Amino acid sequence: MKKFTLPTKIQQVLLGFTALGIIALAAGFAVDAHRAWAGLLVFTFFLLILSLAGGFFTALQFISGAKWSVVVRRIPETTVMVLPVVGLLLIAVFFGIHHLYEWSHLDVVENDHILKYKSAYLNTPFFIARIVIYFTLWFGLGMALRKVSLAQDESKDPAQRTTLVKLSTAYMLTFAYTFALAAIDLIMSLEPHWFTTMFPVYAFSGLAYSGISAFIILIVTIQKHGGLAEVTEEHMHDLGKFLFVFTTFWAYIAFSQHMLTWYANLPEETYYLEVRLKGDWAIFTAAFWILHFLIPFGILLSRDVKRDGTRLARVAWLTLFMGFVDVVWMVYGGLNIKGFPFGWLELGLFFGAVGVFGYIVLAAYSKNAEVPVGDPMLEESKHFHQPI
Amino acid sequence: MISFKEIKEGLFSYEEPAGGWVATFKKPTDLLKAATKVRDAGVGRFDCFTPMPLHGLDKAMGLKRSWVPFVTLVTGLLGAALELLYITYIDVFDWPIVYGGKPHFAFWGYIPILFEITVFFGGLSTVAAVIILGRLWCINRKPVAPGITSDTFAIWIGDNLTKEQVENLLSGLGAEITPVE
Repeated sequence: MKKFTLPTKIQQVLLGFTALGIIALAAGFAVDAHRAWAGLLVFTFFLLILSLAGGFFTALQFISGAKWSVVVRRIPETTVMVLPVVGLLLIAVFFGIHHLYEWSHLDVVENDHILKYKSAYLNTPFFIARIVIYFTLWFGLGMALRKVSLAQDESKDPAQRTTLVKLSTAYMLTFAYTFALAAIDLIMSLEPHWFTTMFPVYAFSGLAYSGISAFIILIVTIQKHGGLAEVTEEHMHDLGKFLFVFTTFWAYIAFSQHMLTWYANLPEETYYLEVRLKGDWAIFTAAFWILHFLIPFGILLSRDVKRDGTRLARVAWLTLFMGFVDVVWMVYGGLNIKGFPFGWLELGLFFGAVGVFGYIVLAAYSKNAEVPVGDPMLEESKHFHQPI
Repeated sequence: MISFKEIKEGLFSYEEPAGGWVATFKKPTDLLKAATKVRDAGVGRFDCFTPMPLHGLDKAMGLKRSWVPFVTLVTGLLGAALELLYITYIDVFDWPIVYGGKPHFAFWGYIPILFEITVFFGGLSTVAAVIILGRLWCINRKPVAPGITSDTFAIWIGDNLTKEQVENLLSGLGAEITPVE
């Protein structure tokens, strides 16, 4: 079993990024505590979607019986190891609940007709209980998937694939409901008067978009440092297609959400876009939509870019960054953040997220075999190739 | 006026293939080797016939990338541009009506239509491009070898070569070489 050795240089860079994130957050609390709490929520949610994307991607491959992806599967399987950090961050977010969530103030709820009716769902004890339940399910099922897959490396038992398919089905069903609710609880309830029926789908499209970007970057980085020789341009092509698909899917969902708001023109819906389209936000939102969708979409139309790991990774850095900006866009709009919505704090937090996620995933990845050596489909995956 | 009978006869009559040689194989791997050899020998006109899709045959034959995606992109964009002109002409100049308090040039409302027209133009022109680039109208050809839809893998060589030249080219692959008349 070949294992990947994580170069010390990469370790140092990733730990440096993590330190940068911590410094930015600490400085943020010193300068503007309100903005720093919002930044902490962005950081937490971004790490949460990255680590859940791994379980989603793994489960998707097992349920669909995909064979091409066996050589790249170990990376998404590993992202569940970031969840404990997310758990700690969520505890930190609980302490900032009064800074972030309007519905957590009982006096506000008492005088607000809408919030009074919503308080059966939006109240602090139930909120914390829900997050604890989601987290337990995500961590339990994600670790189970990882454990069985790692056990297969030793046992080489083809029948364990059946167990993995069953676990994946359980993961997918649980993930669909819990993530939809978690997105509503953590992000959408920042603006408890707003309503939309698209929000969980929107958050999910961001999850898949950021997740696949992160996997591409990790796989290309591992390859650059002498690992994962099994991954050829044929596999990169499919990963590129996934990135292309989720770029388009995000635009489709974002447009579906906002066009209906524009069409219906109801005051309780339009204020969401109103705050995000005036003042400093106008440039930010325009740049966000162009860089999140139009530019990656145009570049990823090319077949050559998708087949070239180096160039695909460059696009993936852009899309990963824009996935982070998407979370900033969702969170900051509802919280009356002063000044331009993207500054040194957010940049530092992005680096922090890259550092934490990259370090934990790569360190855990280098402890086990590079590819699932016990999977009966591994040989077929190595010889996978695309039609012309 | 063309009568129905003439169309029917036209569809089911056979046009003879244009000469050359056909080599048949019983194993797909032999066809892949033969295709590589024929490609490397610089034969201009040749084609392969298989009863099922054969992985790697495109590379063995040295096929270039298809034009179809470019046709889809260009015609899709063209369709969107034409539709934008058309809808703008109607909504802004020809028959300006206020719908639901929206401006005459209501770009956000046009996007679904532009998207659909892009798909429509792109889709139809892709089908046309596949028919034209794949020469799918040649439905009246007599098969070059009888078993190519069941168990025979065949390569047709259209260049003016003698039987010895074809035999030398495909030597050691156990090919059965027959002229196409």
